[in-house]
Amino acid sequence: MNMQWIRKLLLMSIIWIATNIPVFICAEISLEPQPTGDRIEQLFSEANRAYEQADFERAIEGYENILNYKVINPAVYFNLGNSYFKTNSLGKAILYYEKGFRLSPRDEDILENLTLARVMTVDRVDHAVPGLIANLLTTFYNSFSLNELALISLVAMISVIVFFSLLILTRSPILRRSIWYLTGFGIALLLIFSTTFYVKYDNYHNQTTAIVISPKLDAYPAPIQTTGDVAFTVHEGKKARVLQSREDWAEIELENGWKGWVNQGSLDEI
Amino acid sequence: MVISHFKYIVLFWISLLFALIPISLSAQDIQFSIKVDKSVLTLDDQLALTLSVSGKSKKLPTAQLSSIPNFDISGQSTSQNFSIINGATSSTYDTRVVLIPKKKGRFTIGPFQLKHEGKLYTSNALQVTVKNAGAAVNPSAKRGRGDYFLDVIVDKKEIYLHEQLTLTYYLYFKPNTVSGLDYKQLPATIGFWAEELDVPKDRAGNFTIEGKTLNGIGYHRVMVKRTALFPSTIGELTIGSMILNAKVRIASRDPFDSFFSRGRTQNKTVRSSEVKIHVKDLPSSGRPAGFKGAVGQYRIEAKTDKKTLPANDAVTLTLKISGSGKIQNLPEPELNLPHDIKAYDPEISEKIDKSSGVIKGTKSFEYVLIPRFEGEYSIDPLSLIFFDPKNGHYQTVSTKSIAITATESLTNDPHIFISGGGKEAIKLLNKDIRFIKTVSGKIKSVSPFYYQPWYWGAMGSSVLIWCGAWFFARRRGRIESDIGYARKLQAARHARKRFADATKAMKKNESENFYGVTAHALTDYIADKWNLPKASVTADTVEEVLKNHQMDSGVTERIVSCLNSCNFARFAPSGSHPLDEMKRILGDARKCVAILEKHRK
Repeated sequence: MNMQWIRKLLLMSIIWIATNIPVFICAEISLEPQPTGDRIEQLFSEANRAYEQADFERAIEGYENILNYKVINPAVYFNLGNSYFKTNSLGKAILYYEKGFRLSPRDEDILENLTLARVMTVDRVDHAVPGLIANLLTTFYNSFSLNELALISLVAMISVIVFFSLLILTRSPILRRSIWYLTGFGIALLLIFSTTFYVKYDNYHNQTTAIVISPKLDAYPAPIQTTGDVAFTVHEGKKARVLQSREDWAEIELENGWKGWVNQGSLDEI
Repeated sequence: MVISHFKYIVLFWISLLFALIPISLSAQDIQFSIKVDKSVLTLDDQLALTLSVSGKSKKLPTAQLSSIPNFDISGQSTSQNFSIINGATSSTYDTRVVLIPKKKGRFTIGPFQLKHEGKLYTSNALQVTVKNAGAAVNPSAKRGRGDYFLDVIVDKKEIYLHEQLTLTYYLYFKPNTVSGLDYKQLPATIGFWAEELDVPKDRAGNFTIEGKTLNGIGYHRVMVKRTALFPSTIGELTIGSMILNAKVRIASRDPFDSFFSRGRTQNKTVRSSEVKIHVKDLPSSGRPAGFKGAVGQYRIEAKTDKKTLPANDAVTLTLKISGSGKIQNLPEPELNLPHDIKAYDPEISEKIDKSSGVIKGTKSFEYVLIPRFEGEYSIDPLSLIFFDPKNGHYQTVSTKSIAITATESLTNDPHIFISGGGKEAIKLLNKDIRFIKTVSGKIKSVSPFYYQPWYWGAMGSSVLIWCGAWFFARRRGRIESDIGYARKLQAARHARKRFADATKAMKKNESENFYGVTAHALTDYIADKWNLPKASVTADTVEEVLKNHQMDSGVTERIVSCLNSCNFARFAPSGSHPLDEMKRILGDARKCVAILEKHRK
């Protein structure tokens, strides 16, 4: 009886793993770049060598070249951010650290350099001290990349379906009860991760966030440049949300709610 | 016989006993009454209310009071009395409640209700008159009266908004000593921001007792409470009265008695009168534009820890505001810095001194400033505007302007300046950024999964898994509940198995076995397909069975001939059975099953 139960449980885990393995295989395969041979790796190691020799201009050129191959990789972003940091382009450095952070949110190197770069910006950010729950939610939100959230949501979805299927197929009461728990757990996981995915997706794809890349940027109340009519001034490295853009102008909103029109060329989208 | 009679007698008595119990219970009546020790009392007096429950039962309820209008309940105690008169037990429960009147007037106490064993008992009601303590409220009249009273003193009756008001409570007592104080009710200070001040105490923590003569009568007095109040709204504000319970030791008049004991202790409740305060708004005439609500007397000073420093280095600017008033609520002065000086949020600290009865202290603002480029900087004077309630004018105090000289920066990097963060950021700056990453192997491109077909394919196929499971479960359920369906589903499989057996027999040239198996394959298939008893389908009956199910006559003929040739070959006494013949019959039988399989009726 007991042995049979263990066998059933084993079978169940095998079914569960077997249904999820294709997902991981697909995820792994989809990370492979387009066939470009070793060109990208060559460019990367060349740029790294340039960085080590403190030739940051050449390093930037090399990393930018890799990006031209439509490669999206946190290490490339990180190294490019470092190169910009070393050439005192704080805005560009923050831009690429932010890009890297989006792909690899738990990378300590990226986090530390991003913090350091932010500290060096001119504009002071007044942080509201969040409550305990808000803090927990933010930490959770910041701990997973969009890809991870999507993958976990998918695995949770498949698991819920597999468990449900097993539920209508199995008759052992003990097994049914444990499957009920697993199903509940799966549904909770699915809800949490898919909601977070949705929020993050909306933040990253439906809204435009940009970094100021020129040393000083004046914002005007309307998309017309009139001297002496500056609404506020932001400096290099400041993060702002782009609300709309018109010709050379973009309307930005700062964290504190200030809105103004700035020259679009001084911004770079994350 | 005797035993069975005895049983009936016992039963009779038991039933009689049970019948009598309700009667004896209803005979238990309860008297519920109340009484007070006096019907006229003053506001600083207390009233003893006794609730008595008496009856013949031993299980009497006790009366409990949770609240009573116009009075505060100070304490409750219960006592029990038993008496046996002519063999009947009667007992009394007394609940003694000490009441403190809240206001003067004529009040009715009771009637109270008591629920016991489903019955409601109602007590009598009493009239009590509460008079003012003394004839009038003013202290001079109060002083003429009583051995104990609580006096309240305010330093002014009319004050400005946010000005300090000091509230002091003295307990006066004449002949005896006070051994303990119990604060029954603290004064309500709605509309004030209150700061408790210390009261004078000796080293052992006892209140300091001082002598005081009022109207020629010598009293002892104790300062029991002192509070600094800052009104936060304007208009007439009322400070509620305070109620104090003093434990008083009364010396006995009997010299013999006093020789052995120190007298007895009595509780005295004293109540202070309410105080009305008029709070004036700050004058609007002459109010400077930058006034942020500071009231009191203040000084302001500012200094930096160095006058000369390299650019991008930090200098600390300390601003101190000291004086008397609500130090905690002092606003942060506006710091106007040259554009090229960076500043952190200040670290604010306060030092409050309450010992003199006036709230005094110092509020310090510590700013970390960083001049970003070399040159001469001047920090504008910082000023504080406050209202001085003593002379009724607004005043402005300012610091001097401070000059800072920044020499050449020690760091070459023009970007090394700091913003936000606080002092941690300075530590961070000493570190270099983390070194670039190296990647061994392929550099993989992290493309978004959620845009790729496989992702949505997997989502879709998970739904397919569900559909599959659902169909399987449904089919299994039908197989289990519907034998006909189960047989029909398995008919073809069984037939195929039979044909395989037949092929084996053919290869071994076991002709009799071959024909038997082939014939059974056919007949069993037909029986399974239409859920018929296996024995009922034979070569003779098969024609009718097929006809019942609207089978083509051509097919029927073919099946019948196939069965017949099997049976013929099987039961023929002897003869050669050529392999070709067997193969033909097997092929024929297979064909028949295939045709029947397509036939849906």
